[in-house]
Amino acid sequence: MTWLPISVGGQGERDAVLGVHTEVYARHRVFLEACAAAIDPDLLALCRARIAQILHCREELALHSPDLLAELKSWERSPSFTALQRNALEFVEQFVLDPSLVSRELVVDLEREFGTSGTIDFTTVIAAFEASLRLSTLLDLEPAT
Amino acid sequence: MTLPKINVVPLAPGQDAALYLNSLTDQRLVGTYMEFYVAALGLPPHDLELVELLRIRNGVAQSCQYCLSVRTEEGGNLAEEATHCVMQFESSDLSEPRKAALRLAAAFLELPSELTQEARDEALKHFTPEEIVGLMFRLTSFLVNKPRAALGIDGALDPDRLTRIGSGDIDKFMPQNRPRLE
Repeated sequence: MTWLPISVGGQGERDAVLGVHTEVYARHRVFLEACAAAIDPDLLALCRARIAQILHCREELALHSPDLLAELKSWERSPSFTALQRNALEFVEQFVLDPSLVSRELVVDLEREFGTSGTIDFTTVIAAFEASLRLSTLLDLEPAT
Repeated sequence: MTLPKINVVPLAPGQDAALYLNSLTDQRLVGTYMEFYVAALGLPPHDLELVELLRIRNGVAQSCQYCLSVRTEEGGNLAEEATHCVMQFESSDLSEPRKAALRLAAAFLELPSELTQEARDEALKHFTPEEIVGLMFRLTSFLVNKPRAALGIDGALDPDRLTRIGSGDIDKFMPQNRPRLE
């Protein structure tokens, strides 16, 4: 439950808390929707789950299956992920921790899969969702029921 | 000046890294982001110097040379030392409300799940819940700078001095249906 003294009423905690600024909340959702439409939905779900694990974002973690989350914890050793997914996960981990330390090799690997424009868009999408998960985690938003 | 890690033409000296990366990005993403960013400009609290401190703190967290090379006109007259101040804020002469906001920012940018109860209480002592959500939305909007550092499309606007940018500069970032540069 969020630590902010905001009355939730009958709505979800996310809507109640972020919705105190109706216009900005709406614009943020539209931005995230545009981001979600820009890359493969399965890959995005995987990246969001991994970001949620790194940040301990309980609102996002609740959206993913326990089996997936267990596999993701040791994705380097798991045979369940494709080369593309591995490249993406490696990039995402470094990006979340310190984007300036993302190596040229990591970017080249992504570029081979997505092309130059696709890599730039992928990076923007990851930044958008990472920021959103940081927001949720800091405010300790309750998972949707 | 950093060299791109991606296969694009390197920035020319004095070229605006943010505008350049925008021009390489899907314009639907740029457009919807800018609408969010502009809407967030009006959020409380209306302490614009505090918001500028948070923007600089985020620049430090991402090692964003572009972010650290500019100062917004609305954010007062913060000097180069502000970069040091936002990291050493606990021992600074900043006001208690500003320290409370910088504590939230530090947690947001590092490990947001580890925000302490004391930091929460301090924040609520100085800000309304609406102001806290406002500050965190502003930080959320600032994190779109991360791709610049990750892709090496980064660099000070002017390596020799701080550059003042005003609200009129926002229009330059609007996509206005520009096609993406290839």
